[in-house]
Amino acid sequence: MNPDIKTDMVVEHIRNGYEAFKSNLLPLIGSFILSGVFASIVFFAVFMFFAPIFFPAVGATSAATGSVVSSILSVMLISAVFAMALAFPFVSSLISVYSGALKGKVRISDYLGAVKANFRPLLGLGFLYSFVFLSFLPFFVSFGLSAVDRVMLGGETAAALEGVQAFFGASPGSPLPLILLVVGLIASLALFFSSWIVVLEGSGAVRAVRSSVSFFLSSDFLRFLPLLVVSFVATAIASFLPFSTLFLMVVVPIFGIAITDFYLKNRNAFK
Amino acid sequence: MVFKHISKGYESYRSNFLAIVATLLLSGVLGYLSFAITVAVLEALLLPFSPFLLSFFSGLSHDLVFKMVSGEPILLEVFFLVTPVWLIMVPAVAVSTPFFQSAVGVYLKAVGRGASVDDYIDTLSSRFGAFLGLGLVYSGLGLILLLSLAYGLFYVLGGLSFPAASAMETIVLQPYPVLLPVSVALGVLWSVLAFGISFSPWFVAEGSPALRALKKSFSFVFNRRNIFRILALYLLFAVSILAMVLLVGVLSLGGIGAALLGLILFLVLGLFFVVPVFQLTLADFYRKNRRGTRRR
Repeated sequence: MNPDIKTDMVVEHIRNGYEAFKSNLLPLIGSFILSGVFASIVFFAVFMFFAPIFFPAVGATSAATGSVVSSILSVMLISAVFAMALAFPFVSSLISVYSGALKGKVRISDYLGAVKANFRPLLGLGFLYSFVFLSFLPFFVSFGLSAVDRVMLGGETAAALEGVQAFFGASPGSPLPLILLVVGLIASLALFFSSWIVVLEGSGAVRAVRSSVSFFLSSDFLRFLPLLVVSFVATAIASFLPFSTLFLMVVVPIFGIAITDFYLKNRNAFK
Repeated sequence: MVFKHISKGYESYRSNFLAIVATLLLSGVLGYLSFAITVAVLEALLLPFSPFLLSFFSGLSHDLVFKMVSGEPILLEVFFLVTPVWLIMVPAVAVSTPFFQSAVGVYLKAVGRGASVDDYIDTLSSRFGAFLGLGLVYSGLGLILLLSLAYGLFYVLGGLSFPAASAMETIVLQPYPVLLPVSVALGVLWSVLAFGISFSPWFVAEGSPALRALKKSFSFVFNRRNIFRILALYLLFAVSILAMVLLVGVLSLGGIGAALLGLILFLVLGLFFVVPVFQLTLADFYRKNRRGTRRR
C-alpha cells in the first residue's frame, strides 16, 4: 500500500464536503444547475441534429431489409454516443468548482472558465465514457425492458421486445448482458478519477486514463471504495425522493467535494 | 439616439456572451423551480381544507353550468371560482420574480465594464426582498391584465359566434353592459401602469427599495426627455418579435418539419438573442439617463 495515502475516515471527507458546500452554497447550486442545463441542451441538440440526417437512411434500410427496429436503434445509439460525449465536459467541469470550494471562496464563473479550459480533453474522455456506457445497455434492455413489460404492460409486448433484445445480443438465456455489465462496471471504476486528473492536473485524456487505471489496479483503490459506495447510495436515495432535483442539488455537490477532497489529499498516489 | 443604445446593447451582448447565456439559463431554471415549489407548497397547505373547498367549488361549478344553461347572471360565481387560483398564483409569481429579475444586475454590469454570471447571484442575494415586493406588484398587475383580457375576449369571441364564448357573452356581458367599458378602462390602466413601472427592476438592482423604485421608474419613464425614446425602443422590440412570428408563419407553409424548425428558431433567437440584446439596450439607456431622475 502507498504510504502517501492518507487514511482519513469517510466521514471526514463528507464533513469537509459539507463545510465547503455550506460556505459556497449559491455558487455551487448555480454551477450544478448550469451544468445540468448545458448538458441537457447539448445532449438533445446533438440527438435532434443526428435524427433527420439518419432517418431517411433508416427508411431506405428498413424497406430494403425489413429490420426497422435494428436500423432505428443503430441511429439512436450513434446519436447517443456523440450526445453523451459532448455533454460530458459540461458535467465534469464541476470538479474545478469543487476543488475551489475546498480551498475557500468559489464563483460560478470558475465553472464556465473550467468548461472552456478543459473542453477538449474532457470531450475525449466523454467518448470513452460513452462507449463504456454502451456496455451497460444490453443488461438494461434484457432485464429492464422485460421487467417493465411484465409489471406494467402485462407481457403483451414481449414479441416486440424480442427484436430489441436481439439487437443488443440480449436474448433470453444469453450470458452476454451480465458479462458486459461486469466489464462496464470495472471499466467505470478504472476510469473514475480520469476526469479529476484532467481538470485538476491539466493532463491530456490519455495520460489521465493511464493514471486512473494504475490507481484502480493498486490496492489503494480499496481505501476509496467506502466513500464511493456511500456517495452512490446517497445519490441513489436522493434521486428517488419526491422533488429529487432539490435533493440532488445538495447531495451531488457535497459528495462531489468529498471525492475531490479524497483526490487532493492523495494526489501522489495518481502517477 | 435610440440606435446608439441598440448598437451598445449588441456590443455588450457579444463581449459578454457566455455570462449572459449562463445568466438566462440560471434565472430561467431558478425562476421556474421557485414558481413550481411555491405552487406545490401552497397546494399542500390548502389540502387539509380540500373536502370543504371541493364541495364548495363543485357546488359553485354546478351552479355555474346550471346558470349558463338557464342564462342567469353568474358574475359572482365566476369570481369565487377563480379566487383559489389567485391565492396560489399571486405568491408564486411574487416568489419567482427575484429569480427572473435579478438578471438585470448582469445586464447593468455588461454595459459597463464587463459582467460575469456571479453578478446575478450577487444581485439575487442582496436585492431579494426588494424584488419580492416588486413581484407582488407584478402579480397585482397581472390580475388587472387578466380581468381586462377575459372580459375583452368574451366580448370579441362572443361577437365572432364561438359557442362557449357566445354563451358567456350572453350571460355575463349582456346583463352587465358596464363590463365592456370597465374592461377597456382596465386594459388602458394596465398599459399605463406596466409602462410606468417597466424600469423599476433597474432601480431595485441599484439599491432602491421596491416602492421607491416604482416611483422612480414612473418619473423616469414619464419624463418628457425619455418617454418617446422608450416608446421607440419598445416599438422596435415589438417589431422584431412580430418579424420572428412572421418568419415562423412563413416557414410553417413548408410543412410540419419547417414549422418545427421555425418554432425552434423563434425560441432560440428570441430567448438567447432578441431578449438579452433588448435588455442590454434598456440597461444602456437607463445607465446614461438615470442621473436626471436622481437629481429630481
